[in-house]
Amino acid sequence: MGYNRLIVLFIFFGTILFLLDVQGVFAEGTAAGTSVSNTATVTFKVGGTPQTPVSHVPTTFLVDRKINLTVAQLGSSVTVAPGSNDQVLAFTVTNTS
Amino acid sequence: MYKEKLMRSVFCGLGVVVFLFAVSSAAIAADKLVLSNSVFQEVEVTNADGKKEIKQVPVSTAFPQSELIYVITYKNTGDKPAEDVVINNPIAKELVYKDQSGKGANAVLFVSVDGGKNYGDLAVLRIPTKQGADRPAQVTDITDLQFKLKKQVQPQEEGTVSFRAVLK
Repeated sequence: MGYNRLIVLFIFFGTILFLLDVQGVFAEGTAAGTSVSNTATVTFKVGGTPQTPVSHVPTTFLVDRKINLTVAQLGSSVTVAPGSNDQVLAFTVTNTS
Repeated sequence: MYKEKLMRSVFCGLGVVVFLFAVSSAAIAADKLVLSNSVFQEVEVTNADGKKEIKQVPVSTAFPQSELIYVITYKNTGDKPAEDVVINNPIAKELVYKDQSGKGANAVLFVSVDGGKNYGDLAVLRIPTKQGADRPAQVTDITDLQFKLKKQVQPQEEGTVSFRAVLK
């Protein structure tokens, strides 16, 4: 196997591992909007005779989206001449949760 | 003529049997246990005296990693005692049962790690491995809970069982 081919293989598997890792980050925690349902069922007897099992209406709740923002200015201070318009200050907003 | 009469009485007899059966099953259906279920979360609130206390509030939405409290209420609405009462509660796949949290007056808790096929104490349950062997089951393997009541539930009597789980 040539040296170049080995490098290509390394890059290929490296990319796959990276993608798997990224997916792992997204898979952390149940997705927001998921409905989580719970149902219990009771079985019992009356006078020694088994009765039809009884369930209740399912209890559900929705998974909420957690937002924890950090805001950081991009670059250092911006010099603006007096009277000028449309000057830009850039920020990045990141949801860290 | 005789044959016709015989047929008529057989049909009448059948009708009476069906009627009696319907009446008796209606009577059996009246001997009923009714279940209800609520889900809560604990929040810290400051009371009128300025002291902080933990309160359980009903849940409609929850964040991942939060702890939920499920309370199942049973009530005997029939007029005869209910025996051998067993409440089964599968754990949703989005939840992990919190160890030792299953409780209930006069109730003994068993768990399942195979989707409710077998129940027992967690300590004796095992999980098959891919290598064909098995390993001791862990809390995170629990798929279903089973509360067995030690006593009969008398007419109009009600009680609760509860457990906690964490949202994945």
